[in-house]
Amino acid sequence: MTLTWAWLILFLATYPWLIAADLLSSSLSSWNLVFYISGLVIVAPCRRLRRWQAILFSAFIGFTFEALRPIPHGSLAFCLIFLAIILSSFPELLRDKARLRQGAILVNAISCFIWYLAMSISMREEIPFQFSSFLYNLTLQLLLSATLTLLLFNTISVYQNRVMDKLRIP
Amino acid sequence: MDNNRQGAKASIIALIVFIGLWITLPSTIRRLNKEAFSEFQAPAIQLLSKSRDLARYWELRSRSTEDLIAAGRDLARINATLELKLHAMEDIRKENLRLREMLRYPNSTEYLTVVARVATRDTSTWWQRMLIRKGRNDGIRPGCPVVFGNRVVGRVTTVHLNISEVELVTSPAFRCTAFLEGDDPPRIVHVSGVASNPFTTGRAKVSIIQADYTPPAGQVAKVITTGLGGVFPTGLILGTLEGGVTQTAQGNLKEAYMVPSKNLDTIEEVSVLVPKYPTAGEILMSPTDRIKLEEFK
Amino acid sequence: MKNLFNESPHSTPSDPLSRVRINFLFIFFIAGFIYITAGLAYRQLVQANEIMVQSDNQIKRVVIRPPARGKIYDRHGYTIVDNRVRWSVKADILSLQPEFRQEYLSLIRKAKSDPTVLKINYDALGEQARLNVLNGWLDKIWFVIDANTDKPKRSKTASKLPTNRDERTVNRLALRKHLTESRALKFILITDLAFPGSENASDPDEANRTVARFIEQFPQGGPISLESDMVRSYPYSTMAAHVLGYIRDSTDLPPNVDDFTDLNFDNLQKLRYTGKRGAAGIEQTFDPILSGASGWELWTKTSSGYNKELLRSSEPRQGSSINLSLDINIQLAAEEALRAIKDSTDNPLPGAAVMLDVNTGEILAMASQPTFDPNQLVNRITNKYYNEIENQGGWLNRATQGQYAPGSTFKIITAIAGMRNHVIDWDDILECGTSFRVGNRDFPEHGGEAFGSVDVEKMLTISSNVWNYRVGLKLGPDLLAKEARRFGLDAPLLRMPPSLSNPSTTELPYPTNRLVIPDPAYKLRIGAGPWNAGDTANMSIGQGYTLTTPLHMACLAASVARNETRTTPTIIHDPNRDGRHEGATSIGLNKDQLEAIRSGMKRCVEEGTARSMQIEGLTIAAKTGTSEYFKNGEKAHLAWVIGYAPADNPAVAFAVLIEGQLDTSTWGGKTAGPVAKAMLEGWLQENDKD
Repeated sequence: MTLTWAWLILFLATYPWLIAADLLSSSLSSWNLVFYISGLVIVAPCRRLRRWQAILFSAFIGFTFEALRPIPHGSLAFCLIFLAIILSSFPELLRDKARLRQGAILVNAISCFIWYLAMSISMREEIPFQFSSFLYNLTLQLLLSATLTLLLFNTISVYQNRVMDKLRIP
Repeated sequence: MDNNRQGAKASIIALIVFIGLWITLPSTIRRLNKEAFSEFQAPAIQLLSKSRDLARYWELRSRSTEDLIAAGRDLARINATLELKLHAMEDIRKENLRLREMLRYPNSTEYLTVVARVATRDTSTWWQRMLIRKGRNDGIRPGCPVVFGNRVVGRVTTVHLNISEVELVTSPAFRCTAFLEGDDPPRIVHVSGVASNPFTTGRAKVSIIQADYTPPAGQVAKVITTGLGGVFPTGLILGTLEGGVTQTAQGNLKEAYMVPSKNLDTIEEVSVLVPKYPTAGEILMSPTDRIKLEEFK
Repeated sequence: MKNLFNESPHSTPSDPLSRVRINFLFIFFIAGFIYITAGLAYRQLVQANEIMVQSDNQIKRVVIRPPARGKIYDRHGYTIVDNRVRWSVKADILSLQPEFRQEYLSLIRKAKSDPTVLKINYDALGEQARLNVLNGWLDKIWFVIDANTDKPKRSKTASKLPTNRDERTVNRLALRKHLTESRALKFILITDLAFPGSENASDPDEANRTVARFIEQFPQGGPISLESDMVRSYPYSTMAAHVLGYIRDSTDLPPNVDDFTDLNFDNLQKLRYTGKRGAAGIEQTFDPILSGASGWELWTKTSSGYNKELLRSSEPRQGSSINLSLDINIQLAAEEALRAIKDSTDNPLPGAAVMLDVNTGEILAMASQPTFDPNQLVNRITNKYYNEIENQGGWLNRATQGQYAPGSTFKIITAIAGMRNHVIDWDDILECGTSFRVGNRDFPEHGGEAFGSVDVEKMLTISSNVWNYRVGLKLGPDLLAKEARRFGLDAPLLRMPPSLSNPSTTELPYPTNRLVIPDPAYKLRIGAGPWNAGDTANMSIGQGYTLTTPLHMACLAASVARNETRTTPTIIHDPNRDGRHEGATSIGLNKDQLEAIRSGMKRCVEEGTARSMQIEGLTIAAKTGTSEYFKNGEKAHLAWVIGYAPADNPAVAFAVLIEGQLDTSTWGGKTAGPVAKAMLEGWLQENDKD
């Protein structure tokens, strides 16, 4: 029973981190950057959760990020689900700590890129596409998300692992 | 391991099928999903914002009594002047009403004011928005203008039970018409937010400025709401023109950038102006009011 | 038989082909292979570029966007032709496709379930589906614009906008045309949102309201968008309409801002937005200057012909502006005065008025009545409006295109010809009775009275006919005609300066080229028989076959004022104009003779036929004229006055013509005088300002 709902409990346990990131975005709103960590929080759970649980967990993380933002609905959630499938199917990708960290950076950056791209497509009516400014903004956003991963991944994964230990997830 | 891989293939195929389903699914289901996740987050956001208010409260508590007495005295003075002004305004209002009756001039929209605290701000290249701590339960409807004093902050886009999303004037999805200060007779210009680069203040673009417009000398021209669109009341300040007015590439119109009148990064409390009667645009957006469109025809 | 089967003993049963055949086949295949390889290589290596370009051309298209036209200013820099923002509501056909499809299917379902429908016309249903969808959007648009934010019960009465406009429903033919010709462009639902159907042009406030409501309330991001472009506006509406002209729709756009250098522009498919071309007046003749340069957009297209992705674009560039020599004050005064002259049924009489700068020949005012409002023609030219103006005769610029007998104003020419050819001198006195007998016919004095002793000066003051008969007959038709031609009364005017354009074109379109200075040869040519003395008598008072325009007569007045034979009028203002006139020589009169002409014209205003135009503090020299012409087969009067002012130091010259009616007393001084006076007053005001 506990195991079936483990992903949800894990999601609820992870949620404060997400809202903390939002809070950080809010207090540094003049930066015009989103403090995006939704990608990195799925890495540690995907290693241990069963695939379907990982999928549900990532979907919830994705939809939560999208809920209060004008992102094309589903774009981030499906991207995270796809990444979760990959991560949970090939655990050897996340063999050691270094790889885990690299994976987290990659996952966070890829998912960040996806919602950014989806936004640029859905907003093309309002904002005429300019490659240079798009690239500049995207680079900064990706750099920030990568930095956040470097800074926070260890703490979050330790925290998540402890929660999973508590839930007795193998 | 192999099992896992085969499972991955199946999962990815399932994912693709599901994405296909998702796209063809009625929009109501997608909306419902989004709404569910929003409502899930609402209490946390409320709690967060309230705890910040509490912190502010305790900070204020620590102030000396002298400070508070001085502040109270200042407020009393301001109150007295405002009281006087209010009386004068009442007379003007009545006269205005009478004149409107005489001219059969269309009445401007009447609003109810809902004061709301800002919960969080959310800015990026693609959007500039804030969440406020009032929602459907407080009578807020999508499309309502959001102001601070006589300055426009933005417009409500989505309303949840207890929180609402507000698109700021600097957001690319924001649209509004305005008059420019020093334009006589006033001619309509178009205001919309622009994509903003990181570490810069959000700006909006003012376009369709007639070629013969020149900003008043020696001061920054204000951008003022027209009150004609039926959404924003007349005479509110949207912002000020920044860096002059430039000719478009085509050469027959001008455009300019506008900075919002209030620093939207520090604003703590806003008022939502809820029209007494739903606007036409609102009726058009809400599927339940389709009947009205039929009636109109 | 046997031999045949055993021909090749080497071949085994499993190998029915001989080596020769195998070799042959081998060579054949090799050759084929080489051929194909070589062909492919050729295509890949040699023709690659060409093929790439071809495929490029098939998937790309250029959309050409018209520029805004240049402005037109008067001589003081006031804008007389401007551009205004036009807001159009457009529908993106491509993103409406799913809606079309849905409606189409539901229509088919309906048709199938309807037992009365025997054969389903799918094409018609498809069109109907598109119409239904677009009309649905239009309903929504008008709902947003019209609905009132007032209390619901008042909403019906408060809307000031007209309710039955053309653009409330989609025009079936317009949609069909759009889909076949330019489906890649957006379909225009409402052409001019702020000025709904300009016949009922609402006030600017209402226009602003309409636009604001749409922008602030209509849901964004859908297939419907609001776009703005610039169209012509004529702030003074009918003022100088004949000079300014009007514009009409045209897909023949001006050349591009910059043609592609790296793209083969000619081979790409092109789509053009509808632009505007000048159709009359300055708008037409100066179109190359006013029209600017078109912008372009390079798009990839979908297989069904819609635009897919914008690759490159270049903004159109506005046309250059033009400074006209007109002075809006004088122009407005002239038009107002012209409008005030009415016939017995209280309709304004047709007429024209011209005022020139004597020294430069620049046209300060050129008015023609009846007129039209070019604002009405900006979006499209409706048959109704066109016919209305056509019936009034309003399209004709009477100042340059109307042909009229100059009447008594021609007497200046007769007098000058008389003195130059020594038939008479300035102080010679002729006795003039009530009539003069030419051949077997009595030619009468005007008004039937005898003027007695008349010299040149008195003749011009009182406009004696008999004096002119006598001088004209002594001169003969050839000398009279020669003098008239010397003053250019039948010369083409308003030729384009060579610096601007092809000098064979004119500054205003189609000035009349059927001007007539008659002589015996002319009469024979038109088959009216041999010239007789009566013709000469008629010609000497500006009647008969002579035909000229008000502009020519204004030039005559300016020439006399400068003591020259020719004046080159122009409608373009140039502050550095040197005041030289093409073909101009001195008139060739001595001082006394010239003085006689000038003081005669001065006295004409002081005590003669042009008394109605006296202005205090301004001496004016003028000559009136009343000639007869046939209007719809009936005899009618033309009222003329030409002249210049100030008489002692001429600055402006003018000519006014009114087409009268037979039943009213239309007389030169009385009818045309007030118009000239109004123009002079306008000029005085303008002069006082400087």
